Amino acid sequence: MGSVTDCTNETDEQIIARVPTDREVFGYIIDRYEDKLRRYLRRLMPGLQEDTDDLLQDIFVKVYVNAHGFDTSLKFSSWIYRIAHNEAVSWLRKKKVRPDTVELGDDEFTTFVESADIARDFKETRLAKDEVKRVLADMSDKYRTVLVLRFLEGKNYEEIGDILTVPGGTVATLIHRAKKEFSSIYTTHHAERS
Amino acid sequence: MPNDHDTDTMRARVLTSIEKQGIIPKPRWHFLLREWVVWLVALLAFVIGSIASALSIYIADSSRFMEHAIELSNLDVLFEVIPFIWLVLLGLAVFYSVHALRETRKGYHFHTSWLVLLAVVASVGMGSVLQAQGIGAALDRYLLAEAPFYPPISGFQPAHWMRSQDGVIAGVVIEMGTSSFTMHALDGKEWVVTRSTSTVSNCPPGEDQIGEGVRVRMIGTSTGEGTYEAYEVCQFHGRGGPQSGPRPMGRSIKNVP
Repeated sequence: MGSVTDCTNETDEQIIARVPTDREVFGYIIDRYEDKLRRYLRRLMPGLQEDTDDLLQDIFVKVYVNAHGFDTSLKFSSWIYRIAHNEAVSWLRKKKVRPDTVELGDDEFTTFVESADIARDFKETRLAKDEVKRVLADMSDKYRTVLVLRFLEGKNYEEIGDILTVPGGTVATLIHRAKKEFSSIYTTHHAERS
Repeated sequence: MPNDHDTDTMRARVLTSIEKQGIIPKPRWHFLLREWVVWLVALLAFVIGSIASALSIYIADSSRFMEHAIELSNLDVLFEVIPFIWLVLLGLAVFYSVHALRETRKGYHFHTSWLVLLAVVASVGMGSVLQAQGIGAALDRYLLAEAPFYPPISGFQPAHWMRSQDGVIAGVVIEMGTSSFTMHALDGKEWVVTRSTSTVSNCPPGEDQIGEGVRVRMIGTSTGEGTYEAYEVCQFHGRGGPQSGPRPMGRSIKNVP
């Protein structure tokens, strides 16, 4: 195997442009996105666990195969997230599984509850992390996805639009409805528990 | 940078898999071709939508001359004059235009309702231009004459003007005489038309002027094989039959006794 070009200081966009002629530099893309995409997939589809690596491998192979199709007007991260999202949706359809809980660390839980401004709707109730995870798992895929992208992955509206291939205005509507669905499911869970 | 395919990292798994299966990136032309095909489908749908609009506008416009036949209470007639076939085709064209536009690289930036509006406005706009150029009328005449499937589903209006048993026929004047003229009817038959001594004119203003090459409709009675006595002769703007020829240069007669 020959020496690999050092792309440490190159942007994702520069690296993906090299990929068709230099397969080895694709390793940089894998290294940079493996953890991000693994986390994203587990948030989207917590039932995945042991299949995560297989799905992740399929996603990276798809990125490699479609390297020439990268739309340079997009951020590379939006493009790779779009591929990951589409593969995840296909996987969910194929397996017909539903998550029972969503992976959420302590910091992520705090970030989610604060940035999504969800606690405002539950002034009287202290939001419990396990409950939030279950509520996220019970949400429809569409609405869970936008909440994950916006409040856990930290994507802006334009990036979410590029990932889900919907207009920016639709993203705002989706987030609004997702919050409503979250509140509704949380209230139901809370009432059942009480 | 880790660079070892033997280690069990994701980088190693992916690169080894790519190498072993001989996977290569799709060529750039594949993506360009896809984009071109999508735009071509959008363009094709736009052209079909424009033609369907031109025909819809033309047929709807022609219905104005059937005011005596169209009554809101008579749903059968109303149903027959609406150009359903072209409206359905326009709907399909808009659907495929929007679908294709959504599939373009930037298409998802636009809300579907805006794309629908764009497709409708573009198709109807171009259809109006085509109709103004006479393309809608020409295509309708061609289909009525040449396409066997077309008259049964869209030929109500021409048929309405060709009811010789009820005293109503229409066509193009091909030869003028001093007190009679020869007409090529919408169904291709030739009639020698004489003017009745009791001719009346209920034509709209200016529409009783006829001459060679002018499309006319008339009310009267058949007096024998290929002969007709007309009580009223007006210019005809409805569907079917050949197009009007040039305005008569020489003789013309007025629709008066």
